[in-house]
Amino acid sequence: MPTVLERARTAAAHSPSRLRSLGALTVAGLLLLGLVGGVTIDNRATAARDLATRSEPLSLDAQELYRSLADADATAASGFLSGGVEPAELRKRYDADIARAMASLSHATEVGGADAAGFAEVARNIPVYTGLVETARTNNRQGQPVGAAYLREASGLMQNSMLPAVNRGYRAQNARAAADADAASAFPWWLVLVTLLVGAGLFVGQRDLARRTRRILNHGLVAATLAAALALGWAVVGLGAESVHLSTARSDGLDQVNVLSEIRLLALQARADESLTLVARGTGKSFEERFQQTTAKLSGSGGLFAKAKRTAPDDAARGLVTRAEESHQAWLRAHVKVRELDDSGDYPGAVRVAIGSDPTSAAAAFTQLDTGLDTAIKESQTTFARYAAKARGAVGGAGIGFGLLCALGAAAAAWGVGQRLKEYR
Amino acid sequence: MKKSFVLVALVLGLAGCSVSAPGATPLPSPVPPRPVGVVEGPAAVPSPVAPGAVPECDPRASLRPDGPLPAPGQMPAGSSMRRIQDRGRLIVGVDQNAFLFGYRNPATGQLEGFDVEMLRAVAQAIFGDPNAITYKVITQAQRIPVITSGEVDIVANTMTITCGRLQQVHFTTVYYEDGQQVMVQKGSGIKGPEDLGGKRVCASKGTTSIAELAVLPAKPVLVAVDNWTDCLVMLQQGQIDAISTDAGILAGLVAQDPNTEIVGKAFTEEPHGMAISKSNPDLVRFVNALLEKTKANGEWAASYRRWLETRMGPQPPPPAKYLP
Repeated sequence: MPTVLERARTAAAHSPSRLRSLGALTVAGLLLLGLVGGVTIDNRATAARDLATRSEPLSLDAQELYRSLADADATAASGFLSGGVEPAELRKRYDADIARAMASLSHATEVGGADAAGFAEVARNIPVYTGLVETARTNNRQGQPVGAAYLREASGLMQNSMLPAVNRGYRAQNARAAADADAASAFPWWLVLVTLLVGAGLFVGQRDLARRTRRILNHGLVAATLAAALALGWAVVGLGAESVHLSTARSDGLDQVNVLSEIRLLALQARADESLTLVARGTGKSFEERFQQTTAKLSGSGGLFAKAKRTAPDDAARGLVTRAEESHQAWLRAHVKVRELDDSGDYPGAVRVAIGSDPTSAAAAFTQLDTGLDTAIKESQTTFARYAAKARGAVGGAGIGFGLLCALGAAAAAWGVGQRLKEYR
Repeated sequence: MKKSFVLVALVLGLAGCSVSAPGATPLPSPVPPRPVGVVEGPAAVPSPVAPGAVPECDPRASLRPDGPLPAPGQMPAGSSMRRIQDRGRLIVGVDQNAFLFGYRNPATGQLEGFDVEMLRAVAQAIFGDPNAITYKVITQAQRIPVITSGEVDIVANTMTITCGRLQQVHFTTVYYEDGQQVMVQKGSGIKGPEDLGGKRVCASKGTTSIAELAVLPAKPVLVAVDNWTDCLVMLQQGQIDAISTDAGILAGLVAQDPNTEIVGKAFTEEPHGMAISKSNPDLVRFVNALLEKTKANGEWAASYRRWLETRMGPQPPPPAKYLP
C-alpha cells in the first residue's frame, strides 16, 4: 500500500499537479503569515493601548485613592491634636482628600479594575468612615471625650480595612500594568517561525519553478515576495519602535512613578504614626518604632530616595527627587524636635512643632515633601504617557496593513502560478 | 401538538423571566464599624484567680506616714521623692478617656479630672509646682505593668485596691469610694445586674468591673474594650446592651449622652487608690501624708465638689486606714 508520501511524490512528478500544489502551498503560507502577523501586531497594539489607557491610569487611580484616604486619616488625627475646633486649613484639606478619593474611586469603578471587590468594599466604607469622623467632631465641639473614641474607631476602620483593600487593588492593578507592558513588548516567536517557513517556501518554490520552466522570474511570485517583504519590513520597524518606546516608557516613566509612589505612601504612613504617637500620649512607642522603620526604608544608600535618584531618567527628574529628599530631611529634623519636646514633658510644645504652621514645623516640611513628590510623580507620568503614545503610534494600523499586504501577496502568487498552469493546457 | 408545545415553552420562559429579573444582585450586608481592640464572648472573660492564690487582706489599709511632709523642693536625701525632685518631673500614668477622673479636654487638649488633680497635688508637694508632671496615657490593662516596669512613678486611674493587686504593687490610702453599677439606654427594660442574662455588656479590659461581670449569676455576654469611651460608642451604635463599672465612671459617660441612665444599686465596693511600685514604700508614705493633709484642709473636698459632687452626691473624705 503506497504511503501518503509516496503518493505525493508520484503527484509531484507530474508538473501541472506539482505546480498546483506549489501555488496552493504558497497561497496558504502567505495567508497564514498574514493571519499570524496581523494578530500578533494587533495583540501588541491592544496591549500597548490597554497599558496606556486602562491599566496604568487605573493603577494611578488606586494610588491616588490610597493617598487621599491615608491623608484624610492623618489630617483628622492632626485636627484632633489641635484641640477645640480644628483649624480651617485642616478641615479644608480633609474635605479635599475625601472629594479626591471619591473621584478616583468612581473613575476606577467605572473603568472596572483588577480588584473590583476591593474597590466596592472601599466604596461601602467611605460614608461610614466620614460619618464616624463627623460624629467625633460633633462630640469634640461639645467638649465630650467620647469624640476621641469615635475618631479611634474611624481610624481603625481606615487602617485595618479600607487602606489594606485599596493596597490590594493597587498591587493587583500594578501587576496588570506590568503584564500589559510585557505583552506589548513580548518577542513575536510565532511570527518569526511562520516567516521563516513561508520565506523558505517562497525561495524553494521560485527556484524550483525557475528550473522547471526555464524562466528566471515569475511575476506573480515576485510580487508576492515583495508584498511579504514589505509587510515584514513594516512589522520589524513598527514592532521594533514600539518595543523601544515602551521600554523607555517603563524605565523613564512607569518605574519612576512606582518608586516615587511607594515613597509617598510610606511618608504618609510615617506622618500618621507621628500624629498617633502624640495622640497616644506617652504610650505610643509602637507608632514611633514604626516611624523609625519607615524612615530606614526611605533614607540611606539602600533607601528608596537613593533608588529614585538612581533610576531617574535625567537631571531634571533627579533634581525633583533631591528636593523631595531635602524636604524629608527637614521633616526628620522637626520630628527629632517633636520627640525631644514630648519626651522632656513639653507636650503642648511637641504638638505645636508637629502640626503648627511655623515653616520649621513637621507639618510644613511634610506638606513640602508631599507636594514635591506629587510634582515628581506627575512629571514621570507625563514621560510615561508620552512614550506610551509613541509606542501605540508605531504599531497603529500595522496589524491590518500586514494582513492586507499578505493577502495581496497571496492573490499575486495565485495569479502567477495560474499563468504557468495555463501553459499546460 | 406543536402549537401547545410552543405555548408551554413561552409560558415557561415568561415565568423564568418574572422570577429571575427583580433583585438579581443581592444587597451587601453592612458591616458595622467596631472600636479597635474589642474582644467579646469567652475571649473577654479574664482568667479566674485560683482560690487560695490571694491571701486575705484589708485592701483599705496602707503604709503609715513617717512624720510630717517635708517642704516642697526639699525632699530628704536618698528618698524616692528626692530622685523625682532631681529629675525635675513627676511621671504619672493616667487615663484620657474617663470623663470626670482622667480625660483629655477636647477644647484645650489638656488632661483634667479628679484623678489628675490628685496627681497635681503630689507634684505641688514635691516641687512646689503642680505642672511639673509628665503624663503617660495608659489603658486600664496597662496600669500595673507601667508601675512594675518603673516607667511611671504613680498611677491614678480609677484603680480599685484589691488584695490580688496588692501582691504586685503598693496602694496609697483610699482617695475615693465607689461601687459597680449598670448603665443602659433609657427605656431598655434593664433594671439592674439581675436583668443582664444573655445581654451584651461592655467593660474595659483588665478591670475589676469585667472580673465582677464574669462571675455575675445572670451570665451576661462580655464585651471587653481598651477604653471606657469605646463602650459608650458601642452603646450609641447599638452594638451592646449595657455598660457596667464604677458609678463615677458611668456618671462621666451618662454626662456625654442624655439618652442613657444608670440603673439598679451598686453591687460591689470599689475603694480607689493610687498605685506605686513595691520598691518605693517611702513614696507611698509620703503620698499618704499628703492625702491626710488634703482631706483635712479642704483641698480634697474642693476637688470632689469640682468633679463629682453634682453627679455622685455629697461624700465625706474616705478615712485613712493604716497597716499595724
